[in-house]
Amino acid sequence: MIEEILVYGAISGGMYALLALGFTLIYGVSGVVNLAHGSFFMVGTYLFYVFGISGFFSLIPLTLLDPTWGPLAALILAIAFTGVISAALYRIIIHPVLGDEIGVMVVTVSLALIIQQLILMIFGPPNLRINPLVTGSKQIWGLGVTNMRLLAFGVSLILFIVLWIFTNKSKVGNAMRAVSQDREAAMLMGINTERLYMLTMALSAMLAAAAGVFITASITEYAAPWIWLHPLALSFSIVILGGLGSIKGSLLGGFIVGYAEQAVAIGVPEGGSIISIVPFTVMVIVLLLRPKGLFGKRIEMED
Amino acid sequence: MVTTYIRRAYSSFVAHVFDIPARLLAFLLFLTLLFIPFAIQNTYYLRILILANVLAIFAVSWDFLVGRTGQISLGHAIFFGIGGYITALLSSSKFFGLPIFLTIPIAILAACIIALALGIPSLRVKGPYLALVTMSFPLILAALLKWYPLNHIFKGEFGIRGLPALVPRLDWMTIGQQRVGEYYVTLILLFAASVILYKIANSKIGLVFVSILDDELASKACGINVTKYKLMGFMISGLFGALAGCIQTHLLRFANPPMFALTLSFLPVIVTFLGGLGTIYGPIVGAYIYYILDSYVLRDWLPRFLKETVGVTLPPEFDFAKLLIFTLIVLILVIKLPRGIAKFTTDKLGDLEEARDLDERGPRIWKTYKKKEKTTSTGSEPTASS
Amino acid sequence: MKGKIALGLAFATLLFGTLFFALPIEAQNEVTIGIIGPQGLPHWSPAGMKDAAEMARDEINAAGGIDIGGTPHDIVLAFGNEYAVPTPSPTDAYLEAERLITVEGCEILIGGFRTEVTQSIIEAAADYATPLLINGAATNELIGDTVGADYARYKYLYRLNPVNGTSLLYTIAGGIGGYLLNPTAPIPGAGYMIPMFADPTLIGPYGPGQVAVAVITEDLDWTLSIHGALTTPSVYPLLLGPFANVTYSGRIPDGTTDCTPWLTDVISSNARILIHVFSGTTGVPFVAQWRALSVNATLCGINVMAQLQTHWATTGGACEYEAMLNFAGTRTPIVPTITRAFWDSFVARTGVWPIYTAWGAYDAIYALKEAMEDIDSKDKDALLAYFESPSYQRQGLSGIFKYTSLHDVFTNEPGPVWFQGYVRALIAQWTDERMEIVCPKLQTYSKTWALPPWMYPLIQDTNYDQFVGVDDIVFAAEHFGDDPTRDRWEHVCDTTKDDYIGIDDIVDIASHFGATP
Repeated sequence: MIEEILVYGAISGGMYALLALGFTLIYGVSGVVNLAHGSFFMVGTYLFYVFGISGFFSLIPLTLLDPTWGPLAALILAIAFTGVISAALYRIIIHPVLGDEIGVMVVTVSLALIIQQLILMIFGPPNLRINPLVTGSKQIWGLGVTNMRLLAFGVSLILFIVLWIFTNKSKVGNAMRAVSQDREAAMLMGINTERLYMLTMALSAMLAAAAGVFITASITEYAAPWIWLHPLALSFSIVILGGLGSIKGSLLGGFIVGYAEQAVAIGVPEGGSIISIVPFTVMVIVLLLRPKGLFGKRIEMED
Repeated sequence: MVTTYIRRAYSSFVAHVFDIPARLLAFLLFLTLLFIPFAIQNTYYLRILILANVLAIFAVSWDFLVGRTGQISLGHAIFFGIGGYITALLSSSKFFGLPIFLTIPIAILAACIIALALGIPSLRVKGPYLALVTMSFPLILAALLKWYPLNHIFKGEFGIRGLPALVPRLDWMTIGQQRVGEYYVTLILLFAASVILYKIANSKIGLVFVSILDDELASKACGINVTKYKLMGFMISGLFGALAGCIQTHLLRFANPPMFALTLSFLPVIVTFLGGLGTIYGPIVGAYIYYILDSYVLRDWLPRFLKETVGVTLPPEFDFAKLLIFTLIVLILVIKLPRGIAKFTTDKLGDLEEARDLDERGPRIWKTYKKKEKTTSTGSEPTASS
Repeated sequence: MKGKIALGLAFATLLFGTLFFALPIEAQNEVTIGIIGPQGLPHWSPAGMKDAAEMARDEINAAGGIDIGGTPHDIVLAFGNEYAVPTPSPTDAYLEAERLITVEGCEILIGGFRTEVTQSIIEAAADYATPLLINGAATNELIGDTVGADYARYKYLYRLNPVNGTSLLYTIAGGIGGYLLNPTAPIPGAGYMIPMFADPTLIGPYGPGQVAVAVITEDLDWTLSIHGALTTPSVYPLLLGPFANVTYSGRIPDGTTDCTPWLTDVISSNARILIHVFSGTTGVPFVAQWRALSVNATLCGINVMAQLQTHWATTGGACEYEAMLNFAGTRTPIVPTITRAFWDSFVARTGVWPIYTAWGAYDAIYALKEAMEDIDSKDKDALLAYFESPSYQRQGLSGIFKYTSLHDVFTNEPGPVWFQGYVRALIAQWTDERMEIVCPKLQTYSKTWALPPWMYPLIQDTNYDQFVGVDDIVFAAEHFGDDPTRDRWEHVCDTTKDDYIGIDDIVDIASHFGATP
């Protein structure tokens, strides 16, 4: 029982953290609460389907050279395209209402609905099969875990470390941190905040797309036009509980939610049917104790 | 004697209503709403207007909370659902079987108390945190209602059914007459709700709300009990949100978990942005536009028009495009017309001097208050209750 | 001033005057039927309701329409969305039903899948006293709480398809309690799981040795009666037989994507039979994860997604060996001729296999046609009297159709042997991109209920008697030369999985001669 919570909780926690990372990044830098984050998750998954699995654009010829190349190329293309799309959408839709908290939420919710309907119209309602990139399963502490989940877990952690290094060591990362601390001062130092926001948006969407492909391929194994809602709910609760804008907060939050979900599913009678509210409940409890989440910035009374 | 009163009323009416185009427009719209059932033959169209009234009450309550007190709630469906479920439990013949003129007041008062509890997080968190925290409340409650161990009370996603109708259909009534009755009941409730909220918003309490919205720290420094007013904002808003939920429950004659759906939390937001945030009348216009556009134009008129003139039959899958079109319109409006349709119209028609200051949401009340201060001698500073 | 008033008046008139004009629709010699269903779910199209209804309409209209009192009436269909996805919206469902009735002028409604929105549609139909034939929702209370509680208001409400939850339960019970775990059933091979998997620590009425059963149902109301019956210790032995012991039960919320926690519990409960009940998309990841984790239990239950032809592709073949309920689900000789004809013409028309809502919609329109022709009227009260008459029954696509006093579908009693009687589901098993009927047992047609090889690796033991003997060779030899296009095709004999039972299969079996697990 305790092994189940530890093993499965850790694996889903790692994936959740990756999911939440993009959400926290864009908020931390530009203050945008991007309710379309789940949509980029979905767009990434569908693009992966288009490039890797469906017949038309498929990169299957690459597989002839080496069986891992096809999915890998499809993955990279899907992530890159999601980044481009998100940057364009940011420029057209979010930029005009930047600074208006409710306005941003309204446009991003609208955007999410539009993407959902577009996907419904293009791909239709049926579920599309997303094959696991690797097959087979391993035994960990006597529990069966599929290799795909282990891969997704590993990739999540690697991406996390890469992002950590990126934000802390690279020039762009420094600019991001500067802007998130004080936008005007950063502008005065010659940082092009607009371009930086767009870049952050693309980065955040690319992380969502990566999470989309790995989570979909490892857990659900299919894509449907409404797979954006659950990731969105998960990512916002994780991010809030960890502290909006905090990268280590989203890592910790992801694991907390992952463990808590497993604990409720296993420990509470009929707990499975309330598993969906576990992230929210954890979030509310944490917020009542720490109003800005675990690692959030202090409450500022004034701008 | 009587004629003098009538004449005086008329002249003040002319002075206060006909002189201001925005008010005139509102008055004419109200008259139209009052007499529209005589012009509509089809009960489906009446039903659209009834639902628009319900949504308008709901959206007005959201607008009051967000536009006037500045506390962003993305989980307003919780009040809707709580109101609906309480009145359902009380009026269902399987539980208490009380008449609805008792259960609705009880339900909205209970919702008011629950709103007090839900408002507590708002004292700790704010801005996007508050928005996302409130967003999770209805989701938590909906999942609990569907939880298997509680199934014998709340009946899962099946909900509580077999409730009395809002306007009972007596033996001599046709369905059309029942609809007309429902229409007037909802219209009166909408009118009452919006007038009450408008009065509150323009009273001293409303002024305190605006001061908190503008600058919480400064308000605190002025001795305003911020805690009390923030909770009060939640309670007032929750009360009217629950009223909308009660009406909806008795219109549909059942209450079930989709009353807590995320879409129902987003709907007042979208509708308010369509009409104009912080205006009270904006959401009403927005709700009407929403229902007419969605349920009449896109669902009924456009397919028929295309079929009759062009000869194209739209496939049922056109439904997917409907939401797309509607959301696109909202998106463009929010970006291009951030003040909303209603506010845009009144600004165009109305006094330009007033319009200039409307870029920020809220300060308009300042003006009203200042005017009042000039005309009446009782204008006192908002008392700070500590 | 005057100009402004005029402007305001003009604006108001523009807004309301033009938008709301009355539009009477007068139907001459037409029967307008409204189809309302879950667009965006597989129950709608193209395997579901819409195409089947259109097919019935085209067939009837081409044959001269419905003959009411000597006048031919054409069928006109109007389609509506019940707004069940992504989140059910009862308000919109009510509006849509009302639109179909008042604007489109529908005289009869068919449809309703998700419980939350179906009750909206029921209320709308009751408000307008319009007949509604439920096609999709199986919740018992949809009928029991309406027709049973307030007959005057809901008397025009009927259930059409599927049979209610209790009846679905009977079919599952027939498969497990009547066949898999029933050594005394007069069917060869019945009860074969007991010697294989009986757990001596579980003590039943006949002493130690019961087979552990796990129950996982979707957390929606329509499964409540099934879940309740299968988990109540005093009830389930009556259904599943004395050799079943339910060691685990769980409910998975609709829309769940990760079913690992539940499946892990199933593994730790040592269950050998897993009853799964799903109507939504969760059925897909559930089956995929069941396969990925190699859960040591054979699947048997309800999974609507598994009825779709695309299920094999959607699960990537993981659904192999999944057994689930299906209404006359596949083109098999077990079903009556009209069913086979429907299957063929539906596949020719749409290119995909029909699922249960398609059978229902097609059946409903034909049932209405026959009723209207019999009573020479399309009056709803005459139809009510006709359907309520105790002698009413008709041969439908999935069996003989008859109404209970509560307007629910009358079904057979539980039992292992299915005869051509009242409406009753079949149990089909996925094998290699096909569904095969494995229960009820009719010697000539139905196939062996295969066990997943990770549960019972000795696939050469084709009759599951735990010994590869001459009987297995004889069994394969009886089917020598078969391929899947033949009705008598027996997939367990194809041990080499090459879609042909040839000498290689017999050699394979013979080479394991004498083997035991």
